[in-house]
Amino acid sequence: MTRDFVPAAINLYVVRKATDGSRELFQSVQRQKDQYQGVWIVSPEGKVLAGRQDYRDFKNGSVELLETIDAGLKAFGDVTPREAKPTNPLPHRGVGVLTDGGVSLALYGRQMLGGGRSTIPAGIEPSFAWTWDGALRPDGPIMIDSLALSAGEWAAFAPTRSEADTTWSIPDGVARKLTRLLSASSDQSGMPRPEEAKVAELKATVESVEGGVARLRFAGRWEMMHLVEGDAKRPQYGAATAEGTALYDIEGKSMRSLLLVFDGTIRSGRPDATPNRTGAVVEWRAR
Amino acid sequence: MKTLLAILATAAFGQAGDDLARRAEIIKPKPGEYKWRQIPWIVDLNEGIRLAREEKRPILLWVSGDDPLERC
Repeated sequence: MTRDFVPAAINLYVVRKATDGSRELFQSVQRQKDQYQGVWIVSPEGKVLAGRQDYRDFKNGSVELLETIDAGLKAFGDVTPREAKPTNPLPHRGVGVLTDGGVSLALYGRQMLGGGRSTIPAGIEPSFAWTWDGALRPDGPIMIDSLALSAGEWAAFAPTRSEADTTWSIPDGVARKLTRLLSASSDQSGMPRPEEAKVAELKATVESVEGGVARLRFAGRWEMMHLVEGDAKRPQYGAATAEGTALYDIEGKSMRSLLLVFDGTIRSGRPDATPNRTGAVVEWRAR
Repeated sequence: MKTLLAILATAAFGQAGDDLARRAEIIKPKPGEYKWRQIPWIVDLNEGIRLAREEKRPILLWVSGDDPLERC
């Protein structure tokens, strides 16, 4: 892909509103091969050479995508191989403060198994205890996401006083934004929204102060009910706890790092349905 | 290999931080799951069109209902 193509990753809703030539090209592309999203192979003039949204067999999806790519390249003709330089199109994801004082937290999540029965949360039926057996391990594909926080929202993670044992609560509106991490879905239809949180609590403590740096500890819990695609017949019930650590530069009045780790369960259909285990991570560090 | 945050967590919180960092590493993507991120994606389609014209090569256009590189 890197050798033969110009690879472009585009948000459908952004390109639809673009005021430059990209909107025109994309509209033309959709007219030629109508698919909501997916991959199109397109000439620089906007001619669609191949495209794919759905897969005959999802397990074989990578092979089918390669077929599409090969078909598009064959239709285009010979190209001169290139050596594209590595890029970082998301330099602020999980790193540094934006010019407006906000941040972009890096989020990760997936279904999990294991961790030991001593970590089973309250309310789990004994028949499901086996999912905690063995070492903590992934049980599904990775979900990657980002969470934008405004300067004011980000300031809520900093201590009000830089003295050990100082405690404070992250505002409800900020904690609710983390409800998204109760599901490992990367599709908006399966993604809990802030207003679907029944509980969203995140508390912080200055654990110690040393060398002008405050060591912070976070602990939180969330509960939610999400309706898949807004359908009342397709509820999902999720619960999670989180633990976290952070470093805060007292003199510079700025965060140095943040790490939150979530441990949860999600059930589809009924509150007593088989729970799927979820794990999630929030990361950020100063530049 | 530990990430910088994992190292910071361990340094800051000792055993408890180490456990948190270890759990985070288990959840986070493994190198094999992240290969698509090694592709030098362009997020400005107009710039992609310009490059494709200049280099006389096709565009591989990946479109989703979110920012594909931020939510996947």
